[in-house]
Amino acid sequence: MILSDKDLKHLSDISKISLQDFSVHNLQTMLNILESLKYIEVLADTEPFISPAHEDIEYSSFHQLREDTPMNLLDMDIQKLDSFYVPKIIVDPMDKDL
Amino acid sequence: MNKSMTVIDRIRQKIDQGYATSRDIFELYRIKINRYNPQINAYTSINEDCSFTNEYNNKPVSKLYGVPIALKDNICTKILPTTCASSMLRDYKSPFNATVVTSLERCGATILGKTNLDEFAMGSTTTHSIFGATRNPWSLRCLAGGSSGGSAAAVAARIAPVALGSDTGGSVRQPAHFCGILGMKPSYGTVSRFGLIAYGSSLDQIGVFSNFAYDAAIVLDAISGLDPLDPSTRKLPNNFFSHAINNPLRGIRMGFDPKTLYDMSSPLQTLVENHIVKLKSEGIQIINISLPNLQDAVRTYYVLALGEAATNLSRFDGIRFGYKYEYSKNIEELYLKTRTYGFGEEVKKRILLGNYMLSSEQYSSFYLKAQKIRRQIYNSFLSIYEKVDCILLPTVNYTAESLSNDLEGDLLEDKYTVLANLTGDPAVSFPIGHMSSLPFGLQLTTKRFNDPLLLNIVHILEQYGDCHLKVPKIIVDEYI
Repeated sequence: MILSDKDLKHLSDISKISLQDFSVHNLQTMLNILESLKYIEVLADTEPFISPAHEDIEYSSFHQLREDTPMNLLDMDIQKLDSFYVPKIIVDPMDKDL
Repeated sequence: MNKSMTVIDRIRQKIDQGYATSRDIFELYRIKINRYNPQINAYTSINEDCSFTNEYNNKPVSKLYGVPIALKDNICTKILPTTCASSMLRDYKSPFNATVVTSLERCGATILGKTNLDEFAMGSTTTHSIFGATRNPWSLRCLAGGSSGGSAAAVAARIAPVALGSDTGGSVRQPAHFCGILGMKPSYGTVSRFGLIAYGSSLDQIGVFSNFAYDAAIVLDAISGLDPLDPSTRKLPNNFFSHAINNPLRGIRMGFDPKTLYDMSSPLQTLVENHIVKLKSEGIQIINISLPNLQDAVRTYYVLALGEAATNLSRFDGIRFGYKYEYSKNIEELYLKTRTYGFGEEVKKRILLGNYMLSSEQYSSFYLKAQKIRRQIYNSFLSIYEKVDCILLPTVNYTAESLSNDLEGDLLEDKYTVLANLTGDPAVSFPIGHMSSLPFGLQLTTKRFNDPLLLNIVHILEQYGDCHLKVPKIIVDEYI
């Protein structure tokens, strides 16, 4: 995968880092090493692993929560929440708001 | 040296028997630092007076009372700058202490100084630093490893009795391996990371360097446990890390993947095979296992680490703290110039790639995919731990490289260390021998929160070997 000038400009803009005097070659080399990850096969229903702290919730309170809570309340996209804040939001299965 | 006495034991004995005060011990280490640090470049700043740090020095009952400790320079301290070895934070002094620093000071430990690292802990050589490269005490022409190379070199050179580092993908264990000491990354959630400048939040963990397993256990007991300021932490029993020290090893099932021997040189293979014979003689049962695909694991690690790094380092914008470009005409120029001049080449590369992995076009191909592969790796280890209690594997499959070698292109060399970060499991690297006068170590890992098992195994092995007692030749006067 070769990063185009347009890609690089976009990356520079969103990262707020100028590419002047920067070795794009090194960037490209690292990307080439990582690129093969795209072709590793995973089962379609594999749940993303967010962080080990998130697993603590998965195997304790969160499972209890699944049993006790109507499904529509579990539709919140917890994957997009910062793992630091996940416990505060879903760790208490007795929370009446849930 | 008395084999049964660890460094912390000997410091405590001198204080308890009235031969020295905590200040004497602190001054002794400062003398040693002044003598050896110029050759090694392990420290970025040195504490001038222990009375500034030891607010709780009336508690001599603690095992850490009077023990000087070095801290990696990405752990926030009020008394010394916290630079992350970056121009971005060159003059930064934190208004608060990291939780681990507060815990150490409560025990009566003194902060010796801050140690060198790769900028923002991104690297594995401790050469990407505004303070210059740290040298390996075993050979000043060799790398100390990284990113916590300063802490590892300081403990190896006996200019710190123990030290803290941070481990995101092996940054404690790999330099410990190269410097011939113990480096422990405890389970994710055991030690608070409040005040550790974040790199990859789902991977980062503060770890410890020491010459003895018992010393590592004592330090970890002091700094671990529930911290309301880090919701990932857990409450742990008292003396969680040290309680199992001296338990018999008979019956422990240790997994080993024979394929890991194939990419080592023949003399190193022999060293490892001899060590396995020694483990068997201690009553440990060695069981063949097959590790997950290591190349996939290291790519998964880097995609996740870069994405998290790009997010974490977005806070360095020239406004809240750190370096600020003074001559900007507008806010966009302030951001751009501050970050362009403030970050080094390696950090900029990782931020740019991290943002690429997180961009809407690439997110599902890279970041989300990596999270799913991480789940598969995690599940693979859960399956392995149904058959074994712990796993023996290399830390790195070679000894320290020359300073002139550029290893940064070879990310895949981290393949053995990233596994424990991906799973959150504890892992320890410990020395098993020397090859051409350079140390070589192995790594042990186990399931999460089973940390005491690892320290106990290393402790028992220390009783039957002297590898951990060897001192680099440059050290000619090993006090303490």
